[in-house]
Amino acid sequence: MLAFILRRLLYMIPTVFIISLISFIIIELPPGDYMTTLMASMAAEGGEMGQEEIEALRRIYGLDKPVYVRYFSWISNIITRWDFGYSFEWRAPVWDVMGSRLAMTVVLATASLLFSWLIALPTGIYSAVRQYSAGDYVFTVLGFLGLATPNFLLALVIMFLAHRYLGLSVGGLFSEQYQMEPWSLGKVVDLMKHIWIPMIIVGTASSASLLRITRANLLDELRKPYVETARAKGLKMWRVVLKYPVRIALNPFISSIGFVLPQLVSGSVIVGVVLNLPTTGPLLLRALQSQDMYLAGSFTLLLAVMTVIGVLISDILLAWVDPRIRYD
Amino acid sequence: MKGQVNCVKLSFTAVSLALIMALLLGVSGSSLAVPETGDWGPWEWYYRNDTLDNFDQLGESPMLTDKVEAGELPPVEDRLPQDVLVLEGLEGIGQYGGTWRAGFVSAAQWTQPVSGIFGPPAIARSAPDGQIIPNLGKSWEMSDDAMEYTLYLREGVKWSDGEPFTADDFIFWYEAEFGNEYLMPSPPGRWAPGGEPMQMEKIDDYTVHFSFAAPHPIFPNFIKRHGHYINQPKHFMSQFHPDFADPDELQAHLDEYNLDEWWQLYDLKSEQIYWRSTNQQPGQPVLQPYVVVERAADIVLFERNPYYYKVDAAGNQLPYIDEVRAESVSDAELKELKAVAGDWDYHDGQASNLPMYIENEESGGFKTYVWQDSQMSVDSPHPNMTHQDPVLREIFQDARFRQALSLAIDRDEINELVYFNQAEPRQGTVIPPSPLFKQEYKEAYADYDVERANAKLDDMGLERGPDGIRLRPDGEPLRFVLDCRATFIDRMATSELLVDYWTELGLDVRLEGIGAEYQYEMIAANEHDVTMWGSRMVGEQMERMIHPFIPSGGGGNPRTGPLWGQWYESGGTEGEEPPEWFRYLYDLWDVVQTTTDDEERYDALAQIVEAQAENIWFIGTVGLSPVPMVFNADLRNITEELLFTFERDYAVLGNVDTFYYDR
Repeated sequence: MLAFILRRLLYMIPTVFIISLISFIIIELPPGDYMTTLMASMAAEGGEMGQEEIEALRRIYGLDKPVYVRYFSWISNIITRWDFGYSFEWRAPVWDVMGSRLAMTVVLATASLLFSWLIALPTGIYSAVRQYSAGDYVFTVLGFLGLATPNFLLALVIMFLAHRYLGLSVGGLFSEQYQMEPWSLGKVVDLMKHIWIPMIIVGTASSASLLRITRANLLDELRKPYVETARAKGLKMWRVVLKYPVRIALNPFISSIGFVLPQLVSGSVIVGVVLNLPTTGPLLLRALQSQDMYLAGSFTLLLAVMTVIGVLISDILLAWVDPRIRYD
Repeated sequence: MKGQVNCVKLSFTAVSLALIMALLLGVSGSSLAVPETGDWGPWEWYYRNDTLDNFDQLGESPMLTDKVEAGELPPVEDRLPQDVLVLEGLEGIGQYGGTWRAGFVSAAQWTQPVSGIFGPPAIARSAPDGQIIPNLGKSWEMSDDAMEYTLYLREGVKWSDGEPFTADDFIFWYEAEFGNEYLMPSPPGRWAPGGEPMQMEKIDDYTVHFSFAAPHPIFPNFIKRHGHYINQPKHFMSQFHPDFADPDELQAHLDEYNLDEWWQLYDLKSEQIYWRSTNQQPGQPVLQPYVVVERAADIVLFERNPYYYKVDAAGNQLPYIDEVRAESVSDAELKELKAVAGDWDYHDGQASNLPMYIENEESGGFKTYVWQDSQMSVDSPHPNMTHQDPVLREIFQDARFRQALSLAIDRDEINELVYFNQAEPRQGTVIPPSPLFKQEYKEAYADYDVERANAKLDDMGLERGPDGIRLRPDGEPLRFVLDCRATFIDRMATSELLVDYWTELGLDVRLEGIGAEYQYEMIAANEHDVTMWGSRMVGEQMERMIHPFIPSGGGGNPRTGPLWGQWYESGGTEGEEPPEWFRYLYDLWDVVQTTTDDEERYDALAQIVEAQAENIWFIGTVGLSPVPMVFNADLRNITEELLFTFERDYAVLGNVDTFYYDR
């Protein structure tokens, strides 16, 4: 087991490195750079900037150096002094801009994940055990509705309803008075009050698929002879189900942990924009649009690292939980 | 009726004031002598220079009185300069207090939330009729030959940390930034007339003198628009510049911020660095009415600047409002939603949302003002006269083609469908307050006359093919793409109507909604056919007015002919030289920029405006469109009607410093 983990950790390093390289190159691909974004927005507002000024700015920002030079200085800065570079758009070091938002993203992702599990597992079990009952159909339909409706549409509808009929101030994860305050119990409570909308919206989509998968896996298991034997021996149904078949059905849950973070982060970009959440989504979108190189590159890098770590964790958990898995 | 009486009284006062100013400024040779002033609406904007001793008593915000009593601040009479600027609010003396809440969508706007609303710390600013009036500077003189300019500063003005603002701060900029290979390797034309960098010297603590190698009569306009970039707080910025700082200390600063090069840190620490908008960080000394107190991921909090140099007529230090809270939101639509919910105290709205604002005034607790945009034409097609395709180029260069395009537009319909009949159908020309305005320019080719349009195209020899589409001289169908920025909903709507109108003429037009950066790049690369853009006129008749008419690269209006613009901007090394029938306009523009003879300048400008009316380089549709402005219902001293000119050197909202909450 230990050797397995160590080997996986070792594989992580070249993977992350390659991802960072690819993302950096992709960000560079569109013609122009941040300067053209700046020019465009200035032109739209009636500003002006001469050619020499643009070149001087390019030099100040280091955008006149070739791609590989910039990449190496960026990567080495990250490794040696945890410096992710400078965001042109926000005029601040990247880590300052990104740090708090990363934390919020993880919080939201975890909350959504737990929410989707909380919905999917019990309803999946119920659907399998009471197959073709009214409850089964109801859960399935609701699940598919949540899956089919685009997240942002759901967000817009809920936002409108909340504003119109409940008079709530919509958007964001904190109310005005808590936004700038340091963390406290009051702030946590405030977060709870606001997080349920994004949590539901982001969580319902994945809960639908997990529900169906649970149901299918469980149905397979429940047909097996050992279940019949156990029932014949007098064990109660729910005891039987929970004791062993559910453990099998949990398999896809655990293997999905690794991918949940990037899935939730990318899936919630639009929701984040619509709901004005202080998460990475809106920031990443804007950074990519304006070619804010270091910010976009750092985001992608960190998300890649989190994915790789997540996959590793889920592999380890899976190997631990499921005795059928052999690692070599 | 109160409004009307004020209007009449005001016009008289405004006209006489303006005439006096015009006379004075005409004598000094520093500005365009306007033959008459236009009527900019019931704009009661009033300022005067005064000395502190003339006030019996002074007032300050209770917030500051507390600090004075605690010994943290000097008393108000020591904080205000001797030479104060007095502003009068529309509705009189206000009350202190309140927090101004504003929302921003783009990060670029958000790094300068105070400048965007309250204006940058401009040395001088524009009056609505084009005159230049003092702001941070007290007065100035321009020599008759336009080669020397003297700026007089206000005695006693202090930065927000209490240090004096003097001529030293200008000289510091001149020595530290001007011509510095990293910060400003080649000074732009405005600071280097005739190709030679300007000379700056200090006469005394409050007088700065500029001299030029060539006559530079529009220098006062540049001071107005860019003057805040040519000074830096010496006492603060010198620690970040190698010529002024202790090397070890400088290195310590660099290490603290993990930066390698001193100019990166200088750039980060400077609030006003050249070519870019302000970058307000806590700890920077500023001359703005508000100082950054705290900056978080989405919010910036500002508090009043205790050393602000403006007072009201009773001697109360401005501004009235104590705090500003600027919040960044991820999406423009969300900003609209929050505005309607009453979360912002100020919101510049979309014309198409006007009914929604009015509907929600009660529940949101705000009031909607409808101001007028100073757009000559809010959505204007710009045919590319230096098109890469030689056949299209010839067609676009033919004035008859552009005139035909213009005649085919049903402007009344656009006005009705897109702007609720609140805008004005007009051709692309200057707007009435400008003395160069003529009614016939506004009406030139602005009728809806499809027959005449078709006749012009027939004249050009563009026959219709078998499917009704006109053919080019080389036999190909005449087709082109109309580009429009996709996020400008109103403009997209107008563009769709334009496509319909032009299809009727037998042209094969396709509309493409594109992103802002792509549009910009396309124009710079001379790749567009016909592109949609606005054409806003700002409060002055010079400099900016010309750009929508003549293509120039960089920041002018390159859209009607990017290659010609590049030719002009580069001094002939890049782009393409325009043909004689267009070149003479650049010669006229040169005259405008260099002549010291007011009449000659006025004449040249008039010729350029007339050329646009006859040739229609860009086509106007409707202009002077409504700009709904949403203000919190408790705010006072807001102008009822205003020409929204988008200038950054003058607080675009009127005398914002005098706004207050009536609570």
